[in-house]
Amino acid sequence: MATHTQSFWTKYIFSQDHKVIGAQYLIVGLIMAAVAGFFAYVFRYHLAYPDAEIPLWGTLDPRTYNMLVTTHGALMIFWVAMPILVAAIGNFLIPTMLGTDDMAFPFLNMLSFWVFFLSAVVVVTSLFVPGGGFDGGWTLYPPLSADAYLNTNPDFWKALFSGGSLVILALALEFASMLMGGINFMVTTINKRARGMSFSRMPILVWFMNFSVVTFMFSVGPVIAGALMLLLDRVAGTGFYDAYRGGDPILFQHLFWFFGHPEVYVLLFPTLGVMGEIIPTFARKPLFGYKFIIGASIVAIILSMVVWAHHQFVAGINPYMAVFFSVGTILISIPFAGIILSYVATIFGGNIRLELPMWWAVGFLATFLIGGLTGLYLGSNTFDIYAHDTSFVVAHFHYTLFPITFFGFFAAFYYWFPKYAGRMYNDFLGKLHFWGTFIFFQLFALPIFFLGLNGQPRRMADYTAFETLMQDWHIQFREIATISAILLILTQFIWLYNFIVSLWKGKRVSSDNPWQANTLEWQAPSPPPHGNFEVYPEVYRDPYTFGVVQVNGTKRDFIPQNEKLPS
Amino acid sequence: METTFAVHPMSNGNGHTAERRGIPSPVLAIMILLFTEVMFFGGLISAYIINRADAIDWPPTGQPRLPVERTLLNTAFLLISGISAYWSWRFFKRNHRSYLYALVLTLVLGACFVALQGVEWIRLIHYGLTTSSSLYGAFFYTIVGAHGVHVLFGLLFLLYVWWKIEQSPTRDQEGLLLAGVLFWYFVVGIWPILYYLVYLY
Repeated sequence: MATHTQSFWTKYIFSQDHKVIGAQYLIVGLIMAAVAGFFAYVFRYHLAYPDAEIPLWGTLDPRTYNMLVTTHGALMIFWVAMPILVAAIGNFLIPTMLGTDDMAFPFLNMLSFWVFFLSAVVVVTSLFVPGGGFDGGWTLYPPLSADAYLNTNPDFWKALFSGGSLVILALALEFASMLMGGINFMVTTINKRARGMSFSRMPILVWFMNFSVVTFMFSVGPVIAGALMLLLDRVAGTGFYDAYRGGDPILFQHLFWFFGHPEVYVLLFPTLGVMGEIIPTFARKPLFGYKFIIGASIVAIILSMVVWAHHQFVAGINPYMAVFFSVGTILISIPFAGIILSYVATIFGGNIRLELPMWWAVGFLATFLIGGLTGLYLGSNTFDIYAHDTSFVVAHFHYTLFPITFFGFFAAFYYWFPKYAGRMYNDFLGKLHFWGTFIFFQLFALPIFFLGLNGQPRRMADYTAFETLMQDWHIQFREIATISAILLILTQFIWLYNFIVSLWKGKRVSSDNPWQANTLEWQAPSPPPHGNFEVYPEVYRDPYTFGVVQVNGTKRDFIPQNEKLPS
Repeated sequence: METTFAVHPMSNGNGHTAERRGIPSPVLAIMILLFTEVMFFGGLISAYIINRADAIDWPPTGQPRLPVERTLLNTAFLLISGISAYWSWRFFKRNHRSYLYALVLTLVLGACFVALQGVEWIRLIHYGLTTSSSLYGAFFYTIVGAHGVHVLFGLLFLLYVWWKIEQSPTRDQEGLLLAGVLFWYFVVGIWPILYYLVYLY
């Protein structure tokens, strides 16, 4: 065991322990989720009842509405989904699943969290600077974000301490943090696996985490370049995106979406990894097509680099290029459909145990399916030209990103909580939380599809001036969506209560391996101490050996990775 | 099949887990970072080429000529520093104390490069080429500045490596030195491409 002494500061604040860093990422991510969720409540309320005073907020003018929508999007993607799915889950699981004590660079890991924390502080600060927070959409498109024609000779400090510039700075810090974390994940995976843990014996989650960071690192360079140019446009008057001075505003869209589309897969891969661990364990069956899933993911990563312009079909791109990007986008559904069908095939014919994590896994597959299928519609430029910038798009990406972020996180939470807390959660409250989230999410997002198909544009504070958008059913659907969104947010308090009470007062787990899983983290004590293992494990087989066997005269249906069988 | 394991001296200090032989962790980390760096400069360069292709006149009339010859001399400094960085690593590998001379030469030449670039910038600003005077100036300062920041970071990184080696002068620091040298290769290697695109093309 690691024996060096830890004071309070080095143990909980400036910790280099991967589990504490994971928890820190999780806490900051959840606080940001609360902020972004509150914003969602405010503008959803305004959409349903445009004239009413919003409880806990007051009145809402269109500019603030735009600011709230912008901030909601940016926070949810970069300060909730990224830290929770990639950083927190990766930090908790990669070293323990690989059977090692910590990351390859613990100090870099700590630095990565504190840079992330700084980025969170900067983005919150951006809401309170003079002139207010940034209100030009989370995609930061110029000219709304560049202020180019106003800024041939900007006041540097004043321009720097404005909402838009601070958001760009915060994004840069966040990217730097995720870059450090990603390098750490990959080096740990390559250099710190346990004895006998060959690449083909790694749990699928570790593979997916690495795919996630590879995708991130491949795509993030151009957006850093684009954001740097945008920042210079704001603070140094460069005019890269100012068409009047010879610049090109569409250029930013290309640089942004070259990152922005792969980013979706950066978030999807960790969740697919979580499902790839949960489904075999609760179906008591080996993962179907382990190598196929890895191959399909690699194909998806390569394809994801050449589909970005499907976000720009109405931005004036060449129609022939639009066909190219449409075909690429529709092709990319093949590897992902293969992965999802592999999971369904894993469940098929299994000895299913419907425990809470399995509910979340099945709920994810069902919900994400709708998001994926509507993605096919939007990927085709003939349809997208009509649906672009309508609520249909909003409903589509909520149907993908909500299950990815929250179903993925909660599945992982309920599955690994007994391991990392050493206590059990309340199962009844967990089921209540699942059904509340599942039902209210569908009721919230489904109506928005129909509103969008009927021509309701997104990013608009008030529809009352448009008669065609104010028929009775429009108003009712907006109300249903808003009430469901509020109930969805309230449901999360059940989880919060369950989390806090179980953390202190939950029943202690009787076994280190309550789900009878095979991966190495279940062989560590619960909760794993600093250094994780008492004896560092040696691996003898792949992580999905399920099925009834006779071991030393007793019948069992699983064999952990590090169990040596008598030959 | 049996794989050989050893506690790699580059592991994180408590020495409990087996770290695989193969590419040392710092080298691997820098290789992954450089992958992203290439994409970053790729983004800047493609933005430059696209905007330039759209421009009516390039360089725009009334903008000063870039110092092609002085910067060529500066390029030579940087290239020599790349060679001395290579020798620094080779000497260290052979357990030669003289690695330090090569490393110091690298640092001095790198610092010269930054200083001369700074002098040229001041002259250009004096002649009326600023970030907001034209897209020409904007791209010049952004691309050359981004490279300059990387040179500075590379210098700091090599200084850190030097300090680490002085703290514990063992051959186990080879991986760390190679990481620093690799990053320096990137800084040196990308400069001729940028020089061609910005000054000559």
